[in-house]
Amino acid sequence: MSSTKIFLKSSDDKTFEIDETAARASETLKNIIDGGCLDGVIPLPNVSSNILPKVIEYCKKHGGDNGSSKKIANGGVDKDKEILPDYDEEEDKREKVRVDELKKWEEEYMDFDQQVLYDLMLAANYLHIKGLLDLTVEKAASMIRGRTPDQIRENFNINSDFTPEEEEEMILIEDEWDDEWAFD
Amino acid sequence: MEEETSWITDYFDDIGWKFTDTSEFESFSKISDEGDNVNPVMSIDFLLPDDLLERILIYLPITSIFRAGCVCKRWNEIVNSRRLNVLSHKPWYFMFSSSDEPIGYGYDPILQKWYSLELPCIEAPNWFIASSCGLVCFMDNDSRSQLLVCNPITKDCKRNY
Repeated sequence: MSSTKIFLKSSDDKTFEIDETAARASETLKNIIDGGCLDGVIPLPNVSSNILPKVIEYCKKHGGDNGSSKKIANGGVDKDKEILPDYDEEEDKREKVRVDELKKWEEEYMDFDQQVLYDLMLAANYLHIKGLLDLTVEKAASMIRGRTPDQIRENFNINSDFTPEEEEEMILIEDEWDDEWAFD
Repeated sequence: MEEETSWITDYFDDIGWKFTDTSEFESFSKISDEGDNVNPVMSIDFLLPDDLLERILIYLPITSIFRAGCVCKRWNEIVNSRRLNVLSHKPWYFMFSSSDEPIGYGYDPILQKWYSLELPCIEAPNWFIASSCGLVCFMDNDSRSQLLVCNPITKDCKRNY
Protein backbone atom coordinates (compact mmCIF):
# COMPACT_ATOMS: atom_id res chain seq x y z
CA MET A 1 0.00 0.00 0.00
CA SER A 2 1.36 3.40 -0.92
CA SER A 3 1.99 5.84 1.88
CA THR A 4 1.62 9.25 0.31
CA LYS A 5 2.18 12.05 2.76
CA ILE A 6 -0.59 14.51 3.41
CA PHE A 7 -0.11 17.88 5.06
CA LEU A 8 -2.66 19.37 7.43
CA LYS A 9 -2.64 22.98 8.52
CA SER A 10 -4.07 23.88 11.94
CA SER A 11 -6.14 26.99 12.69
CA ASP A 12 -3.00 28.72 14.00
CA ASP A 13 -1.06 28.06 10.79
CA LYS A 14 1.09 25.13 11.85
CA THR A 15 1.59 22.29 9.40
CA PHE A 16 1.52 18.60 10.36
CA GLU A 17 2.32 15.54 8.30
CA ILE A 18 0.22 12.39 8.15
CA ASP A 19 0.24 9.24 6.00
CA GLU A 20 -2.63 9.01 3.54
CA THR A 21 -3.66 5.64 4.95
CA ALA A 22 -3.94 7.16 8.42
CA ALA A 23 -5.75 10.26 7.14
CA ARG A 24 -8.43 7.98 5.69
CA ALA A 25 -9.66 7.28 9.23
CA SER A 26 -11.31 10.68 8.87
CA GLU A 27 -14.33 10.66 6.59
CA THR A 28 -13.82 14.36 5.82
CA LEU A 29 -10.17 13.91 4.82
CA LYS A 30 -11.03 10.75 2.88
CA ASN A 31 -13.55 12.70 0.80
CA ILE A 32 -11.03 15.45 0.14
CA ILE A 33 -8.42 12.89 -0.95
CA ASP A 34 -10.84 10.85 -3.10
CA GLY A 35 -12.41 13.97 -4.56
CA GLY A 36 -9.06 14.94 -5.98
CA CYS A 37 -9.22 18.29 -4.20
CA LEU A 38 -5.85 17.66 -2.64
CA ASP A 39 -3.81 20.73 -3.26
CA GLY A 40 -0.67 20.38 -1.19
CA VAL A 41 -1.87 21.34 2.27
CA ILE A 42 -5.36 20.75 3.69
CA PRO A 43 -6.35 23.70 5.91
CA LEU A 44 -8.32 22.79 9.04
CA PRO A 45 -9.58 26.14 10.36
CA ASN A 46 -11.50 24.47 13.21
CA VAL A 47 -8.63 22.48 14.71
CA SER A 48 -5.81 24.10 16.69
CA SER A 49 -2.20 22.93 16.87
CA ASN A 50 -2.81 21.76 20.45
CA ILE A 51 -5.35 19.22 19.32
CA LEU A 52 -4.26 18.25 15.81
CA PRO A 53 -1.30 16.05 16.93
CA LYS A 54 -3.70 14.20 19.23
CA VAL A 55 -6.08 13.65 16.32
CA ILE A 56 -3.23 12.46 14.10
CA GLU A 57 -2.12 10.05 16.82
CA TYR A 58 -5.58 8.50 16.80
CA CYS A 59 -5.69 8.28 13.00
CA LYS A 60 -2.27 6.62 12.90
CA LYS A 61 -3.52 3.99 15.31
CA HIS A 62 -6.76 3.36 13.46
CA GLY A 63 -6.27 4.44 9.87
CA GLY A 64 -4.25 1.53 8.53
CA ASP A 65 -6.15 -1.37 10.06
CA ASN A 66 -9.73 -0.85 8.97
CA GLY A 67 -10.03 -4.57 8.30
CA SER A 68 -9.14 -5.76 11.75
CA SER A 69 -11.16 -3.13 13.58
CA LYS A 70 -14.21 -4.21 11.59
CA LYS A 71 -13.54 -7.75 12.68
CA ILE A 72 -13.55 -6.61 16.29
CA ALA A 73 -16.83 -4.81 15.74
CA ASN A 74 -18.40 -7.97 14.32
CA GLY A 75 -17.57 -9.87 17.46
CA GLY A 76 -14.21 -11.35 16.60
CA VAL A 77 -13.60 -14.17 14.20
CA ASP A 78 -17.00 -15.87 14.19
CA LYS A 79 -17.46 -15.38 10.48
CA ASP A 80 -14.11 -16.98 9.72
CA LYS A 81 -15.13 -19.95 11.78
CA GLU A 82 -18.09 -20.57 9.54
CA ILE A 83 -16.08 -20.43 6.36
CA LEU A 84 -13.13 -22.48 7.60
CA PRO A 85 -14.13 -25.50 9.66
CA ASP A 86 -10.71 -25.72 11.30
CA TYR A 87 -10.05 -22.04 11.83
CA ASP A 88 -6.71 -20.78 13.00
CA GLU A 89 -6.68 -20.82 16.77
CA GLU A 90 -3.42 -18.90 16.79
CA GLU A 91 -4.99 -16.14 14.74
CA ASP A 92 -7.87 -16.02 17.22
CA LYS A 93 -5.42 -15.55 20.07
CA ARG A 94 -3.51 -12.87 18.19
CA GLU A 95 -6.77 -11.04 17.55
CA LYS A 96 -7.58 -11.08 21.26
CA VAL A 97 -4.16 -9.71 22.11
CA ARG A 98 -4.69 -6.98 19.52
CA VAL A 99 -8.05 -6.04 21.04
CA ASP A 100 -6.61 -5.95 24.55
CA GLU A 101 -3.68 -3.89 23.39
CA LEU A 102 -6.03 -1.44 21.65
CA LYS A 103 -8.16 -1.07 24.77
CA LYS A 104 -5.08 -0.33 26.86
CA TRP A 105 -3.90 2.15 24.27
CA GLU A 106 -7.30 3.89 24.29
CA GLU A 107 -7.23 4.14 28.07
CA GLU A 108 -3.87 5.89 28.01
CA TYR A 109 -4.83 7.99 25.02
CA MET A 110 -7.99 9.26 26.72
CA ASP A 111 -6.19 10.46 29.84
CA PHE A 112 -6.56 14.26 29.59
CA ASP A 113 -8.49 17.17 31.11
CA GLN A 114 -11.95 18.44 30.26
CA GLN A 115 -10.81 21.21 27.94
CA VAL A 116 -8.95 18.74 25.71
CA LEU A 117 -11.99 16.48 25.80
CA TYR A 118 -14.26 19.19 24.33
CA ASP A 119 -11.72 20.24 21.72
CA LEU A 120 -11.07 16.67 20.68
CA MET A 121 -14.79 15.95 20.48
CA LEU A 122 -15.34 19.00 18.28
CA ALA A 123 -12.40 18.03 16.05
CA ALA A 124 -13.63 14.43 15.72
CA ASN A 125 -17.08 15.74 14.84
CA TYR A 126 -15.70 18.17 12.27
CA LEU A 127 -13.39 15.59 10.69
CA HIS A 128 -15.98 12.79 10.92
CA ILE A 129 -13.80 10.33 12.81
CA LYS A 130 -16.52 8.13 14.21
CA GLY A 131 -14.39 6.02 16.53
CA LEU A 132 -12.82 9.06 18.16
CA LEU A 133 -16.17 10.82 18.44
CA ASP A 134 -17.65 7.77 20.18
CA LEU A 135 -14.70 7.59 22.58
CA THR A 136 -14.93 11.26 23.59
CA VAL A 137 -18.72 11.27 23.82
CA GLU A 138 -18.64 8.16 25.99
CA LYS A 139 -16.11 9.76 28.30
CA ALA A 140 -18.27 12.86 28.68
CA ALA A 141 -21.31 10.65 29.34
CA SER A 142 -19.42 8.81 32.07
CA MET A 143 -18.96 12.19 33.78
CA ILE A 144 -22.75 12.64 33.90
CA ARG A 145 -23.92 9.09 34.59
CA GLY A 146 -25.29 8.51 38.09
CA ARG A 147 -24.75 12.14 39.16
CA THR A 148 -27.27 14.61 40.52
CA PRO A 149 -27.99 17.82 38.56
CA ASP A 150 -26.02 19.75 41.21
CA GLN A 151 -22.98 17.54 40.76
CA ILE A 152 -23.28 17.82 36.98
CA ARG A 153 -23.42 21.62 37.16
CA GLU A 154 -20.34 21.69 39.34
CA ASN A 155 -18.51 19.19 37.15
CA PHE A 156 -19.16 21.07 33.94
CA ASN A 157 -19.24 24.61 35.26
CA ILE A 158 -22.86 25.24 34.33
CA ASN A 159 -25.20 27.70 36.06
CA SER A 160 -28.82 26.81 36.56
CA ASP A 161 -30.95 29.37 34.72
CA PHE A 162 -34.35 28.14 35.90
CA THR A 163 -36.76 30.47 37.62
CA PRO A 164 -37.51 29.51 41.25
CA GLU A 165 -40.84 27.99 40.15
CA GLU A 166 -39.17 25.93 37.43
CA GLU A 167 -36.48 24.93 39.91
CA GLU A 168 -39.15 23.43 42.16
CA GLU A 169 -40.57 21.51 39.24
CA MET A 170 -37.09 20.22 38.43
CA ILE A 171 -36.61 18.97 41.97
CA LEU A 172 -39.80 16.96 41.59
CA ILE A 173 -38.55 15.44 38.32
CA GLU A 174 -35.17 14.78 39.89
CA ASP A 175 -36.77 12.93 42.79
CA GLU A 176 -38.96 10.97 40.45
CA TRP A 177 -35.96 9.67 38.50
CA ASP A 178 -33.73 9.11 41.48
CA ASP A 179 -32.12 5.71 41.19
CA GLU A 180 -32.85 5.07 44.84
CA TRP A 181 -36.44 5.00 43.83
CA ALA A 182 -36.02 1.98 41.62
CA PHE A 183 -36.18 -1.55 42.90
CA ASP A 184 -34.02 -4.43 41.79
CA MET B 1 -44.78 19.56 29.67
CA GLU B 2 -46.53 21.68 27.07
CA GLU B 3 -44.89 24.92 28.18
CA GLU B 4 -41.44 23.71 27.18
CA THR B 5 -41.69 25.48 23.81
CA SER B 6 -41.75 28.83 25.53
CA TRP B 7 -38.45 28.27 27.32
CA ILE B 8 -35.89 30.11 25.31
CA THR B 9 -32.24 29.30 25.76
CA ASP B 10 -30.37 32.54 26.28
CA TYR B 11 -26.86 31.41 27.07
CA PHE B 12 -25.36 33.53 24.30
CA ASP B 13 -26.84 36.60 25.94
CA ASP B 14 -25.12 35.50 29.12
CA ILE B 15 -21.73 35.45 27.44
CA GLY B 16 -22.26 38.88 25.95
CA TRP B 17 -23.29 40.22 29.32
CA LYS B 18 -20.24 38.77 31.04
CA PHE B 19 -17.88 40.28 28.50
CA THR B 20 -19.39 43.74 28.85
CA ASP B 21 -19.24 43.35 32.58
CA THR B 22 -15.52 42.58 32.62
CA SER B 23 -14.62 45.45 30.34
CA GLU B 24 -16.52 47.84 32.57
CA PHE B 25 -14.53 46.64 35.53
CA GLU B 26 -11.33 47.04 33.59
CA SER B 27 -12.08 50.67 32.90
CA PHE B 28 -12.58 51.25 36.60
CA SER B 29 -9.52 49.17 37.34
CA LYS B 30 -8.62 48.14 40.88
CA ILE B 31 -12.18 47.20 41.97
CA SER B 32 -11.42 43.99 40.18
CA ASP B 33 -12.06 41.28 42.75
CA GLU B 34 -14.66 40.20 40.22
CA GLY B 35 -11.87 39.09 37.92
CA ASP B 36 -11.26 36.05 40.12
CA ASN B 37 -14.63 34.67 39.17
CA VAL B 38 -13.52 34.02 35.60
CA ASN B 39 -13.07 30.28 35.44
CA PRO B 40 -10.19 29.06 33.26
CA VAL B 41 -12.14 26.04 32.02
CA MET B 42 -14.94 27.08 29.71
CA SER B 43 -18.24 25.48 30.49
CA ILE B 44 -19.28 22.48 28.38
CA ASP B 45 -22.46 24.40 27.77
CA PHE B 46 -20.82 27.21 25.80
CA LEU B 47 -18.55 24.97 23.77
CA LEU B 48 -20.62 22.11 22.50
CA PRO B 49 -23.37 22.45 19.91
CA ASP B 50 -26.75 20.81 20.50
CA ASP B 51 -26.07 17.77 18.35
CA LEU B 52 -22.97 16.84 20.39
CA LEU B 53 -24.77 17.34 23.70
CA GLU B 54 -27.51 15.12 22.32
CA ARG B 55 -24.98 12.45 21.44
CA ILE B 56 -23.60 12.53 24.98
CA LEU B 57 -27.04 12.28 26.55
CA ILE B 58 -28.01 9.34 24.37
CA TYR B 59 -25.18 7.34 25.95
CA LEU B 60 -26.89 7.64 29.34
CA PRO B 61 -29.49 5.36 30.87
CA ILE B 62 -32.97 6.88 30.72
CA THR B 63 -33.07 7.89 34.39
CA SER B 64 -29.80 9.79 34.02
CA ILE B 65 -31.16 11.51 30.91
CA PHE B 66 -34.11 12.86 32.88
CA ARG B 67 -31.91 14.06 35.71
CA ALA B 68 -29.59 15.73 33.18
CA GLY B 69 -32.69 17.60 31.98
CA CYS B 70 -32.79 19.34 35.38
CA VAL B 71 -29.35 20.90 34.95
CA CYS B 72 -30.34 24.01 32.98
CA LYS B 73 -32.87 25.23 30.42
CA ARG B 74 -30.85 24.26 27.40
CA TRP B 75 -30.29 20.69 28.58
CA ASN B 76 -33.94 20.49 29.49
CA GLU B 77 -34.93 21.48 25.96
CA ILE B 78 -32.63 18.87 24.47
CA VAL B 79 -33.89 16.13 26.78
CA ASN B 80 -37.49 16.96 25.92
CA SER B 81 -36.93 17.36 22.20
CA ARG B 82 -38.57 14.87 19.91
CA ARG B 83 -35.30 13.93 18.27
CA LEU B 84 -33.73 12.62 21.44
CA ASN B 85 -36.71 10.36 22.07
CA VAL B 86 -36.46 8.93 18.58
CA LEU B 87 -32.74 8.35 18.85
CA SER B 88 -32.94 6.66 22.21
CA HIS B 89 -31.40 3.28 22.79
CA LYS B 90 -32.40 -0.12 24.13
CA PRO B 91 -36.16 -0.37 24.68
CA TRP B 92 -37.60 -0.91 28.13
CA TYR B 93 -39.61 -3.98 28.94
CA PHE B 94 -43.09 -2.97 30.02
CA MET B 95 -45.80 -4.91 31.81
CA PHE B 96 -48.99 -4.57 33.80
CA SER B 97 -49.53 -5.78 37.30
CA SER B 98 -52.60 -7.83 38.14
CA SER B 99 -53.77 -5.41 40.83
CA ASP B 100 -56.82 -3.17 40.49
CA GLU B 101 -54.69 -0.07 40.21
CA PRO B 102 -53.72 1.04 36.72
CA ILE B 103 -50.00 0.72 37.38
CA GLY B 104 -47.40 -0.61 34.99
CA TYR B 105 -43.83 -1.68 35.46
CA GLY B 106 -40.92 -0.73 33.27
CA TYR B 107 -37.59 -2.55 33.16
CA ASP B 108 -34.50 -0.68 32.11
CA PRO B 109 -32.20 -3.29 30.51
CA ILE B 110 -29.15 -1.02 30.82
CA LEU B 111 -29.37 -0.38 34.56
CA GLN B 112 -31.17 -3.71 35.05
CA LYS B 113 -33.72 -2.07 37.29
CA TRP B 114 -37.50 -2.06 37.53
CA TYR B 115 -39.53 1.12 37.82
CA SER B 116 -43.20 1.37 38.61
CA LEU B 117 -45.03 3.64 36.21
CA GLU B 118 -48.33 5.27 36.97
CA LEU B 119 -50.76 5.28 34.08
CA PRO B 120 -53.37 7.88 34.97
CA CYS B 121 -54.87 7.77 31.49
CA ILE B 122 -56.29 4.29 31.72
CA GLU B 123 -59.03 3.16 34.05
CA ALA B 124 -58.37 -0.51 34.63
CA PRO B 125 -55.32 -2.76 34.37
CA ASN B 126 -56.94 -5.19 31.96
CA TRP B 127 -56.78 -3.03 28.86
CA PHE B 128 -55.32 -4.38 25.65
CA ILE B 129 -51.83 -3.22 25.02
CA ALA B 130 -49.35 -2.94 22.18
CA SER B 131 -46.16 -0.95 21.87
CA SER B 132 -43.79 0.46 19.30
CA CYS B 133 -40.74 2.75 19.56
CA GLY B 134 -41.38 3.69 23.18
CA LEU B 135 -45.07 4.44 22.69
CA VAL B 136 -47.74 2.25 24.17
CA CYS B 137 -51.21 1.82 22.71
CA PHE B 138 -54.11 0.87 24.99
CA MET B 139 -57.62 -0.30 24.17
CA ASP B 140 -60.31 -0.85 26.79
CA ASN B 141 -61.48 -4.36 27.35
CA ASP B 142 -65.22 -3.70 27.63
CA SER B 143 -66.61 -1.60 24.83
CA ARG B 144 -63.39 -1.66 22.82
CA SER B 145 -64.20 1.84 21.71
CA GLN B 146 -61.45 3.72 23.54
CA LEU B 147 -58.01 3.87 22.05
CA LEU B 148 -55.13 5.64 23.78
CA VAL B 149 -51.58 6.25 22.68
CA CYS B 150 -49.34 6.99 25.62
CA ASN B 151 -45.70 7.57 26.40
CA PRO B 152 -45.36 6.01 29.85
CA ILE B 153 -42.04 7.76 30.50
CA THR B 154 -43.17 11.32 29.85
CA LYS B 155 -46.79 10.46 30.77
CA ASP B 156 -48.05 12.14 27.61
CA CYS B 157 -51.28 10.66 26.42
CA LYS B 158 -53.46 11.03 23.33
CA ARG B 159 -56.98 9.71 22.95
CA ASN B 160 -58.18 8.36 19.61
CA TYR B 161 -61.70 7.15 19.09
